[in-house]
Amino acid sequence: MELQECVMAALRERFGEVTDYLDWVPETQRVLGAVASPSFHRKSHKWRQDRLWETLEASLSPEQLEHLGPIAALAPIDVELGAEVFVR
Amino acid sequence: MADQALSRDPQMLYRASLEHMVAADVLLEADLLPLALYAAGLSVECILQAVALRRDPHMEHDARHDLDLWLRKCPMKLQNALKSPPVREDWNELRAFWSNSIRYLSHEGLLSAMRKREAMRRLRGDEKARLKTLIHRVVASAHAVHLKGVGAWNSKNA
Repeated sequence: MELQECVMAALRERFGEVTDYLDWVPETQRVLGAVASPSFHRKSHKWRQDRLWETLEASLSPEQLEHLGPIAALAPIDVELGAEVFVR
Repeated sequence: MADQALSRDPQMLYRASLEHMVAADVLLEADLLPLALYAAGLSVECILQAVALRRDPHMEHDARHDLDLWLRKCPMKLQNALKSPPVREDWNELRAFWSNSIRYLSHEGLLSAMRKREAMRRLRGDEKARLKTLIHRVVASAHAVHLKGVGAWNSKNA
């Protein structure tokens, strides 16, 4: 399974509905970008990043983790650009 | 110059925004407050530029490092999102405290600048603690704004 698929499988197992906005960057051999899930709605940036990386570190090998770049954790409303309550 | 062309590449700016926000968190954790603040605002500048330049690759690159001017070049949906509550508070806070010249400040320079602006007046603790609280708050605001920018980049409707 390709790395991006592994990432999405791990995140979906933990968070349920997750939309893939990741890219594979051949120059640096990294997966990076963003994912969106209703599970992140009304959660602080820190909570989102902590849960995201906790999940990936538990599911992926050290070699796979080396090929991950930054991943922003969005709520669907961030993509829809609607109004919401954002908790710090 | 090749560097100039590179700095107008929306895809590169998008990725840079993601990396600079990670850097801001690392710098904040290390108590490197001036650079943490600079990196957080720079991340927002990059995502606004990415969204604006993808929309119109031939636009004049005349917004320099002005976050307001870059937002005006972005799609209306993102402009409205950042000017609506509650992210409006975060946008206003970032605009109030970030500028491109922060990169030249030492820790003492940042403290002096915030002291002159009376920015820490209502915060608790000694000056060191108050500055830390303030910068953490502004970086958190930058995160909120950056997420909307990343959302706009990935949105079909922005």
